[in-house]
Amino acid sequence: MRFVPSPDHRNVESRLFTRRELVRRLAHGAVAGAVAPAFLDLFTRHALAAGRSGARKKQIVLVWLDGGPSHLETFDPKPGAPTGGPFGGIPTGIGDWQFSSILPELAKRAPQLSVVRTLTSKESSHGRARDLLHFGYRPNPSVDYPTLGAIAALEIGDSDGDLPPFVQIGGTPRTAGHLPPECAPFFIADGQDKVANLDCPDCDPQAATGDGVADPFAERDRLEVLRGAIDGEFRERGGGRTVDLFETRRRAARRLMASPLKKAFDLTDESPATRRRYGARSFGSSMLLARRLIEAGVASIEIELPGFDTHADNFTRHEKLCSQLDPALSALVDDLVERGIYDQTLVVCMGEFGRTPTANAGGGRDHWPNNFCVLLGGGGIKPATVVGRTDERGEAILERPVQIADLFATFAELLGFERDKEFNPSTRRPTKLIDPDGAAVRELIG
Amino acid sequence: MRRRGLATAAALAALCMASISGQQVPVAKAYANGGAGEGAQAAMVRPLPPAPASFADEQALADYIDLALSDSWQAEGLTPSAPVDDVTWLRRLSLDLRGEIANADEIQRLLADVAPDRRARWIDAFLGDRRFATQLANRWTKLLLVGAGMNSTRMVRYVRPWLETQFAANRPFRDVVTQMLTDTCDSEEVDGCGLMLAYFDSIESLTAITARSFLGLQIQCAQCHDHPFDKWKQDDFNRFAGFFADSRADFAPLKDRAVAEDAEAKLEARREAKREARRAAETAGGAKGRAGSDGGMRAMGVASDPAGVEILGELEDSPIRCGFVVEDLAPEMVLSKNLRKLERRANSGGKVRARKAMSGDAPENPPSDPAGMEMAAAAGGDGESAPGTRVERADGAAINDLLRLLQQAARAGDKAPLSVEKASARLAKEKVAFDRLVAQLQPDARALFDKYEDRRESFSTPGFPDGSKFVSHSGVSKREELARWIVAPANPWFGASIANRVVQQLLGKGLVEPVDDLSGSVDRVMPELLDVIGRAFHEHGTDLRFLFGAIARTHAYALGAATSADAWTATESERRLAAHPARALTLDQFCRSLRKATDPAFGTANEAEAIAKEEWEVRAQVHTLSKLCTAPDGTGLIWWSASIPQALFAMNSETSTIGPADVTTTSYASFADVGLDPVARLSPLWRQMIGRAPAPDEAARLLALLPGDAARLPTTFSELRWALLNSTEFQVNH
Repeated sequence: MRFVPSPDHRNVESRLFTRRELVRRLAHGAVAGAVAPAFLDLFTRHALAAGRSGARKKQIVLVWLDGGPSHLETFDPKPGAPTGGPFGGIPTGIGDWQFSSILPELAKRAPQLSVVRTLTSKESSHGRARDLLHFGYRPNPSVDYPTLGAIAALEIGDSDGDLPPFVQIGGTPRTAGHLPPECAPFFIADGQDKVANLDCPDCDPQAATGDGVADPFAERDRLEVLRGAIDGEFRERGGGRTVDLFETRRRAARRLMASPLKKAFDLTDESPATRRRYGARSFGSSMLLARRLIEAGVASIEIELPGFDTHADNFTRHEKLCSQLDPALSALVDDLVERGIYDQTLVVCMGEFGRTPTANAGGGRDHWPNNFCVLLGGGGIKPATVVGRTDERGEAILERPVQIADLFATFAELLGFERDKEFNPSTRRPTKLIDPDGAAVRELIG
Repeated sequence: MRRRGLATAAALAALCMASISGQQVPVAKAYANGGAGEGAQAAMVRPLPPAPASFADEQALADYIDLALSDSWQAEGLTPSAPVDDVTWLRRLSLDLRGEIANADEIQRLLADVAPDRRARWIDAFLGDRRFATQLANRWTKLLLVGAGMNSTRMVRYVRPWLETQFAANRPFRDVVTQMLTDTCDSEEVDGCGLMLAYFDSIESLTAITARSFLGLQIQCAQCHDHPFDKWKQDDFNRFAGFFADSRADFAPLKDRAVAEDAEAKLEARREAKREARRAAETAGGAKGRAGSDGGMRAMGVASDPAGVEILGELEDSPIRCGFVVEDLAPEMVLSKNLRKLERRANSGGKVRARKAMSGDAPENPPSDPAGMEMAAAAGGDGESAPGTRVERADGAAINDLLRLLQQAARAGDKAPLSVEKASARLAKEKVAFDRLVAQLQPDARALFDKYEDRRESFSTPGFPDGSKFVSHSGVSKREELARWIVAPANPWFGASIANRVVQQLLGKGLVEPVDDLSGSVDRVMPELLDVIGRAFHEHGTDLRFLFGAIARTHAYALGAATSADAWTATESERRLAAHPARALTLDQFCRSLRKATDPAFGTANEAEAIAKEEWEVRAQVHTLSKLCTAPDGTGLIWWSASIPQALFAMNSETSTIGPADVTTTSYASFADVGLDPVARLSPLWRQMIGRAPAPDEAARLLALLPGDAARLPTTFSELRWALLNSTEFQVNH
């Protein structure tokens, strides 16, 4: 819940806009020429691009389990305890770390994963807790905080790329707060659906595959000249700054439309076997889409799996949800490892709080921010590391409580964020990107 | 930080010497100290020009505002930008007051009107238009429900139409606010109870939204600790919340069995339709998935997005599933209210129970969760169980323990279990039994109980944030006392905060920013002017149309964009209202304008049914396009700004890539008439889309760029429409 209106939205222009050089010449002609008739898979193409511009930057994928996933039915089960519920545990051989028996595939990947079992917060309401876990700060009505994905877009996003630096799949669009609008998520409502409006109806996709001479965008360019003439008149009347802002976004959009990397959004290339491995439903498709976007170089991705707010029927509902989470997240980890990009990609899986160890009268669990989990992997995280320990009922922290600020400090260190960078929320009291009170969890940093 | 501090101090000295005569508007107590640590700034506050004792009409207030502003511009060394022409002004006014652009016909009529007072008459015409009430209701609904979480979805269907009725009737705003805060209800008729019901489970959020929306105070920052920047203490918050402590808002089972059965039948029909649609989509889908929706306004635009229809259906047309209760409780019932909330939390698997209740297994105990589904989450969610208690852990075991003992102690020979309400009512009369019971509680249950009791103490002595004394009158509920204090002319904040919102809505920036942080903000331009405008607002019976009418009549409202090449000066000019910033359209404004620009018949209907249908279609498109936009901001509004998905929509969507022209329209006819001069050929299309006429060189250049092929004219015309839709001018409120 944010209570402060964001003046930049109302007044169109971003205060930080002039600091970013985003105007680029349309290079679609050059790219079309460079695409040889022989097919180049996306990853190879991107690797070539990365090779040109230097070391590949890190990336982050946040798998957001919305509603508050029960720690007892996911990453910190207590089988046999009075609070343990009906499912068993799968030991990982890594300390006393177990996965719930409803996450068998993920349990097998434990050597590549790590966990913090003792995240703790004081926020038990969805809105506030969701904000806390996304901002790294407790929500404050006076400050327009940016979401983690937007921070990543700012800090490690490719400002010069064809693809947006932050893509969100599912849920409701997160906010870039007071960061520049380029950091706001490119939102895809459902990973199963074709992404809207990526293709230009006037443009002839066949034109590029001939001698490389014909320009598929020629028709559209002609219309853009007409539009430019109208905008030119508006510029004369004092609308210059606004025209520039819109022009920048149009060029970025054009660049996306023209880019061969656009294919990352299209799942039809993937084999049925792959689709099955991830799970054919919406979440599986979203995770597969996320993998393609990671390969194509998108810096920051968030995927949401909703439905974890199980005040009733906790066990059956968690079983259903985990039956989607398990294959999809396992497949993602496998594919990232196979492609050799797991070490560059920070994978984070969490929700806004855990659930009450003592079940309620309806067979449900209620909110439990006292101790909950985050599953981590890749991106420089020390693998097979277990941070924190809870009691035998899963309702008290015995060792190593970790604050959300600490978690964000860890992200900042792993991904190379400039922690102390200040942004100016609308009250004009400078606020740092990352909560200065957070201390990175050293056990996780390899 | 004031760069011009020295210049201001000198000018201030000069002005002080000059303005000795005349009435000085006293600086309201609210601003005397400025924001925290801003004492130095207070010293540089320049007095306003002397204000008259009363403002006869909108023009008088407008003139005074302009005087005060130009005074400040002179002191700051700012030159106001040039005023815009009539057509630009009309487009701006139409967007701001009616939420949509003016079409070619309306522009034609303005240009034909040469009387000197035409702008004032257009303002009044737009204020009387039904769409003024609609857009105002949309804004206030979103603002009031922004903190209500899941309840906002449920209550929109009650709040928005009710507000629209009030605004259409131009009811004094103080009466609207009073009714929202004090109304009671006892059935499925909600009337003005929407706000209380939306925040039924969180007195904190209710307090916060009341203070923020009506008074412009961010008092909720003080709910857990003393406000870090502002003067509010936690005690201030608790005592303000105390005005709501004796009231109860809740969902209730439907009393009328026939209504309940009808509702269940409709719900089942809806679920079946949803299943049907899903089956159809699955068979049609295949490996490629469903085609992405693009908000296309095809003939059955609404039906093309089943999810959109479903949600909107839920919003306004859904069967009534429960009744409501909003009442003020006698003190002895307050404990019972708290305990009912405890019970709901402890039994938040109430979904099953609720369904049973509705199908007629009338239990002795009213179901804890009669409205079903989301209630369960809401109950367990916010950690609220007693007024203002932020329970940090969901202490299910302790709560159950407490409730069980209470019920046992109160049963005293009854065979059937007592509801918590009856139990506590009985206990309230037997203090000794109650105390004995409390002593028996397990430690954690006892700790919880003590916590509730502690907080209840401070809520029992409500207090007004401005320090004025609260005296309880018999027969007057605490909510009524609060409402009276809020809307009274002596209240330092109500008039000023409403004035600030209207200033921001029309002029792009409030005099105080953020618009709802009157006491804590450090970004202020002549905040005392808000007191003057607020006073005039009260003087004219808190008539919103008066306020809008006055601001719209100002010269400041008619200014154009900042002309300075220096970014700092341009920003400063806009901040001090010496230039009018280009503003983003709300998504709602964008959708309406898109529709109006491409459909000359839009907005011309007069019959209620046709109007309702248009409204549905617009809202369906807003729902669909909301996926392209960033999250709603603190006011609950979604903005059409310049993001990549929005650019892609403008460039590639079905809506934008309009098919061949409708050759029967006037705009096409002019375009196709090659004998006309370029401006005449293009004017009707330009007016329809962006309001102004094309400039001569613009028209000539465009026609030169177009293929001259006569057979291709309809397509060429469509291309021009695409270009106009994609222009910056169309997508912005300038």
